[in-house]
Amino acid sequence: MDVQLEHSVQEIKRLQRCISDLGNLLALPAIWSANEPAQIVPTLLDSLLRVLGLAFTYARFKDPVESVFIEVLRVADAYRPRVQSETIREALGRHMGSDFEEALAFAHPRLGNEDISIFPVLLGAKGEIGMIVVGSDRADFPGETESLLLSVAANQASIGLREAGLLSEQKRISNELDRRVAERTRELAVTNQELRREIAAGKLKEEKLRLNEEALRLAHMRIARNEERWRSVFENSAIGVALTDLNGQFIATNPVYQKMLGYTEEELQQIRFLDITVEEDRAHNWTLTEELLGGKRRQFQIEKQYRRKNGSLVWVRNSVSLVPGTERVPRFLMALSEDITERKQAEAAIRASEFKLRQVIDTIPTLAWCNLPDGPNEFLNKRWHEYTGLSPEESDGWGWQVAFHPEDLPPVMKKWHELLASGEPGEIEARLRRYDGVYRWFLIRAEPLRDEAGTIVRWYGTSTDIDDRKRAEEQLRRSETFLAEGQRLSLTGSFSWRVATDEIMWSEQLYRIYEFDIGAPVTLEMIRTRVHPEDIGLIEKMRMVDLARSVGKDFEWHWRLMMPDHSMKYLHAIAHPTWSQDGQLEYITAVQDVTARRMSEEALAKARSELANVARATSLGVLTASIAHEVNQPLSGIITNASTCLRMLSGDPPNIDGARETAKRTIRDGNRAADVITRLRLLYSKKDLSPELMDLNEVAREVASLSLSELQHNRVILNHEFADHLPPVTADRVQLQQVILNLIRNASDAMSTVDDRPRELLVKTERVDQNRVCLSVKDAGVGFTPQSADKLFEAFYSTKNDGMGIGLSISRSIIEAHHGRLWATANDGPGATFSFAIPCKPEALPEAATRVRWTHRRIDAA
Amino acid sequence: MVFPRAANANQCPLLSVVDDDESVRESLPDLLREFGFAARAFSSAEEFLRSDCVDETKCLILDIAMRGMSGPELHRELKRRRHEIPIVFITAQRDETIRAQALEQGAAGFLFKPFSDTALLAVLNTALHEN
Repeated sequence: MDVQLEHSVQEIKRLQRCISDLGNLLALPAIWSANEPAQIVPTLLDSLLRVLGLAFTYARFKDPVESVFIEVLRVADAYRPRVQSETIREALGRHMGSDFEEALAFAHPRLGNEDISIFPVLLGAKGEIGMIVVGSDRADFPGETESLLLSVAANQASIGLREAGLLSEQKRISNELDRRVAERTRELAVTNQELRREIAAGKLKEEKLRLNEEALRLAHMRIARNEERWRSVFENSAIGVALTDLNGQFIATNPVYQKMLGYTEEELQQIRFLDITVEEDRAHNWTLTEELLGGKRRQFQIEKQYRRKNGSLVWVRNSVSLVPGTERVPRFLMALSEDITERKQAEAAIRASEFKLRQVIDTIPTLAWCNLPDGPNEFLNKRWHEYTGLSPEESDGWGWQVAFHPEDLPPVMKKWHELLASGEPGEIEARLRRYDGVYRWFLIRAEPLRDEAGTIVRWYGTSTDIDDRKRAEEQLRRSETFLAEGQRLSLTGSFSWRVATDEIMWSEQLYRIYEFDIGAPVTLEMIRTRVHPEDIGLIEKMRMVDLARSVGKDFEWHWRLMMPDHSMKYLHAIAHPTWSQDGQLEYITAVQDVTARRMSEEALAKARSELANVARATSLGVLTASIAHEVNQPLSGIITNASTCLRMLSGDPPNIDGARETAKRTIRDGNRAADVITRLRLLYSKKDLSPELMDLNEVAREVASLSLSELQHNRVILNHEFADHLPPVTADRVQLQQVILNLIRNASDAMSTVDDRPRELLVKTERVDQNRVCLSVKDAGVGFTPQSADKLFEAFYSTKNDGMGIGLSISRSIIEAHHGRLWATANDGPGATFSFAIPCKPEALPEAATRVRWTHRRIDAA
Repeated sequence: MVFPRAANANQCPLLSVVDDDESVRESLPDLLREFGFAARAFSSAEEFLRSDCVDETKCLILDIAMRGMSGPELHRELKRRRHEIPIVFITAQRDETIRAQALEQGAAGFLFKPFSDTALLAVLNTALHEN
């Protein structure tokens, strides 16, 4: 964008300068009007020297009046002592003869020992008028526009010299005629007087008359000769010449003029020049003519269009003068006409080009401007005015300052003055006020434009709207800060991992967590050095498992870091897979340092465990004491009665009646002891089932979420496969949860000593048949032996060091109360699977089966 | 040692049993009579204190845990009243702390229920002879 703009600006600059120079050159004829050739050429050379910044300008031309060669030289101050006419003539050498065309045969000669390129331009079509030679210290001189300017200058000079020649010749001839006529008139008057005297004297009358006639004939001959010469000049002139009467009716035209308009002389003599002047030029043309006739001006120039006989238009430049009349010839108008169509077309092309450029400048979505070397504005494009709502008058000079935000103006002005002082390009960001009062951010760039001498002639600049970018940047900055701060506060880092290439990108916080130098490239190898040795296998397993699973799922895992100082960190990660456009798998993972939480959880769990142990011991003690007390009472009676009975029977004589009585009491106390046991059993079954319709998956999910923390603590990976569209079951929600919880805890406990493989636990639900659904819990733990299989569900049987062996027994009671079945199978691999199946069709549960109770306290005991 | 069975119950030493458990109250006095003692049973400490047997009782077989006044409380009450009756505590709660406390406070004997007739006789023998 910038490159294109810069190019446009350069182009505009070049064209503007070209137009300006062209204007200067085209203005020269106005200065030359009625001047001598000797004055025309020096002014042209001065102009070229100044306008094109040349080393010298030199002209050698034929004075059209005197027909001698005149040389004029203008040298820039820097080259003044060195460049002389002689050196130029020398450089042109033999080409400086009368044949100017030859001078063009050699291109870009150098001037003597000077490092100056010289360039000759012909005056007249074939150099018949002369030549202009210009010199520049630039090696690439002349450029395209300079060539154009030089040719226009030469053209102007040719026209000027021709006009001057014609005017001069015309004046000379006219003066000569006047002088001769006056002389002859005087001679004739004298002669007449003498004749009269002689006639009066009666002598020599006829002879004198004859001589007088002869003299008159000679005079007429001379006049005719002069007229012939004048006619020849007129006919052969290189530019069009037309004579009209004071009404503009053509009297005479030369061939060039006729050819230019496509009319014959006779046809032209039938019309007035206004008749063939285009409508829009007529009034102005006639006004100038009237001013000429009225003596207000001596001559005038006009550029206008004539309509040719064939209807086409031709641009002409007319120099019109009023030729004073004589006794015999009335006053008439003389016009020297030059076809300037080509020049006009060139100008139009330049104007069109400039218009196009202006359109470009005005339509580019950028505010463009041009300032003068000392700072004030010269030009602002349309977009600027549309954006700011400021009129060209309001923004002119230093008016543009009002568009800047008051806070930004001082730094902008400071920067602007720095640029002006240094002459270096620069840029600054500032807010500009929109027409509706809204300020938007712009990037303002300024670039100086220098002339050949290195002097800054203009400053060009653009102001590009960067408000959206600026806001987006600000938002991004805020968002990044927010994220970084959030990560820092929550001790959460994040990373992305391109699985195929192992490209890893880490957030700053993750570096802090791993205690790596921020920004250092991270490799899997580096990460492994930090992972706790016991968890390396888990990480590898996770990676393989998740790659094999064709991914597509979020997953999370826990692992530990072993820092160089042997301190531990607990990390919790949640990974989310994404696919890039080329189908590459990438994980975005949030990693939280949960060490503090884990420490407090562990402390809490330890405290809870201790408390549970105390509570369990206490409650068991109380229970045991209570059972002992209840049973010991009747036992005491039984033993005492039995002792009494024996003593009575062994008496002499035996007390048979007493013995019978005590034996009866023994039986009664025995029954009483049995009642105590029965009563104890009833303690377990005080609460009825509260059956309700429920989704087994939902129950399992609830339990799984309740167990998650404990499972994570035990580094157990919980997986689940829940069957879709599982029919609802009718069950006591709390009891079912207790069973599932018990199975999960047993599974977890069974893996507590497993360190050589992942502690994976699978909870699965499925429909067994039309009427039953099944839930199974599969572990990778120590499993059980075939010998112990039968005992698993017996109360007080446990494979655990600290287990009471009550859990599975009670679980089975609960499941059986639900008309279901609970069983265990050994896995093909390590571990065991415990499953239960219960009816899935709602059906009334018999009253007798509803007397099962299992409290949370007993889960702890399990 | 076997106590001789008295021809007249009134001449035999009176042993009182205080226990809120009916089976003890029914069986133990019979066994004591077989041993040759006179025996009375009371269902609570209060009942025993209200009876006319307090002065005559040569040994008290006393349950520890009872509704109302407990065995050790009755022991303290008797000491307060300066009735120096030897006391054998019996209890179904197998708690060594309770036994230690009871013996420390001057119990003549201590038996966990259920106990054998010989164990009872040995304790009674000691209690009566020490007194």
